[in-house]
Amino acid sequence: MRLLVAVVAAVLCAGTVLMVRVTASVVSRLNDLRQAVDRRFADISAATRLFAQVEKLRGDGVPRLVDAAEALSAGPGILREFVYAEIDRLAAHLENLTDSVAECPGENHDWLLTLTRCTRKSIDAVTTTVVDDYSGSTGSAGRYLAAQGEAIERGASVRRLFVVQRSAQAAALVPLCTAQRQVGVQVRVAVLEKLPPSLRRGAMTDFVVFDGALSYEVDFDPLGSYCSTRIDAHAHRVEPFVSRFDLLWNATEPADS
Amino acid sequence: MAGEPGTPGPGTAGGVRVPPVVLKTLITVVVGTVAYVVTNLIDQSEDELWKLAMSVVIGGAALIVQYMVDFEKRLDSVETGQRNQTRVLGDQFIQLSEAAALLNELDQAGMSTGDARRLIKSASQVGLQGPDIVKAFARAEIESLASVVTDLTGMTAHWQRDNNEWLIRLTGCAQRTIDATSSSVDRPFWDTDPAGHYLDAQIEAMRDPGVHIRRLFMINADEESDPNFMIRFTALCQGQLDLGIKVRFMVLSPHRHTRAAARDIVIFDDALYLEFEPDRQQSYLQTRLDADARRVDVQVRRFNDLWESAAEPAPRPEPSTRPPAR
Repeated sequence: MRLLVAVVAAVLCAGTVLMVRVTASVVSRLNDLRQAVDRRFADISAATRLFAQVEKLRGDGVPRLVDAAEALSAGPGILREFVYAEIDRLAAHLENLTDSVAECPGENHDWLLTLTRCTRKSIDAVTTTVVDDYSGSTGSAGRYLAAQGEAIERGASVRRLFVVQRSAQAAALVPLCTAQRQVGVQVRVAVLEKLPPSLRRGAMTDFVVFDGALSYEVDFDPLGSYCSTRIDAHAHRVEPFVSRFDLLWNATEPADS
Repeated sequence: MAGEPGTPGPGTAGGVRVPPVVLKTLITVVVGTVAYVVTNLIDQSEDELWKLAMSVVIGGAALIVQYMVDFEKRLDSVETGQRNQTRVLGDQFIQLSEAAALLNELDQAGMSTGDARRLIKSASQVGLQGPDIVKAFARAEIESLASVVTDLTGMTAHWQRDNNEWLIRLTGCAQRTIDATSSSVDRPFWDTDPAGHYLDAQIEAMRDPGVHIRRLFMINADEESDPNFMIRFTALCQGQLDLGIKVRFMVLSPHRHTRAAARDIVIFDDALYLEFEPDRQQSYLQTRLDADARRVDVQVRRFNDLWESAAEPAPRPEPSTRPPAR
């Protein structure tokens, strides 16, 4: 009997030691494994984020831009510096756009033209300062009109509302309206003195709303010597422009051609 | 009896917070103590105790074996999973190296990786939220610069309008010299808003890197014979002289000078030039940037020749002339 007890006790002790050792080794293996995985993921997560960003841009101009910028490293210093400055400017511009707002000094015809080319659905424009841009002879006006024609061919609707103070001024717009209609732009002329007083209130500024989602406006300082362009895609900023345009448009008769 | 505490093993091994071996040993000790007390309590019938002890030992052993087999299997599966994951991560690393290569290229090109990161980051984030047109616009802006820079790898790029921004920014990039010919095409330019920015940029360039600016005005014979024009023109020249710009002018004669002579060209650092080309009606302008060494040399020599033969502007006629074009 004593022998049996000794055997059982020995087996139990040995078993216990065995179990503890096995458990310890298993736990340390698991720990190693976990650490390896953690290390790998820590290494990779930062890189993956960047890669995901690059991957998204694969079809974009960015890799092309970067390749070309690299190829320019052999060129003259000033060219390289110029290109890098341009890329930096673009990055800053895109950062602003991430925030749905961009501004620049002066009237930015490039933005106007590019936005027109990007439009899918609609362009609604209010024009008060007819003298400068729409004389029809300058290059940028011609290109802008052509871009609007292309937008119309893509199926977008382009509505332009001229706002003038008096009926007499409307007559001067006739050739301009004709030119616009020829490319398919819907044109109306709002004469302020004929409008109901409720509509005459509010600032009469030039603005363009693209796709009902992005506004382009040019602000003049009080002396008219300096202006700045602002584009904004925040719904709460675009909404007032959309409703103002609709109000004025609906209050105006289609102009006679 | 030692086996019984093994059962909570998977639970503790799962969360490796407390050293699990210590925990297990403790539990074993506790259970052992409890078992010791129980055996003492039922000390009366030794047979019963033995039966109980044996059944517990055998049951425990069976449990341990099951548990160990199960554990081995799970550990295997974890290790297999880890190997697969490593393979996937390896693939990702290969793809990642493309991104790394992109950044590396930029580093070698002398462009700060920070700029590239900034571009990549902003380009990928723009339009994530917000209307489609913002994204389309951003893409168009990227494409437009990309095509210009791609063109520039061939040392020349075109712009379908008079690109005063390039003029101003290149002025900012110049380190040594700016030599400009200014023909009748761009004289109305001096009264415009961009001209103000251009002059500001030139003043800045002359002050900081100490750039030397020479401007050669080209006028034609009709203009030279118009006294009103000459008064305005002299004022313009004096205005620029006052800013520190070296100004000369020459009269283009239709017999001696071809149309090509009247083009507006601005040479920066004798390394590249901007050319403003009017179309036939002189209404459309297009801008060309050229950095081809041979063509730049031709333009530099041409400018120097013209400069030598050009005249200094007349002194300020009367004190009450207009201020500089700005």
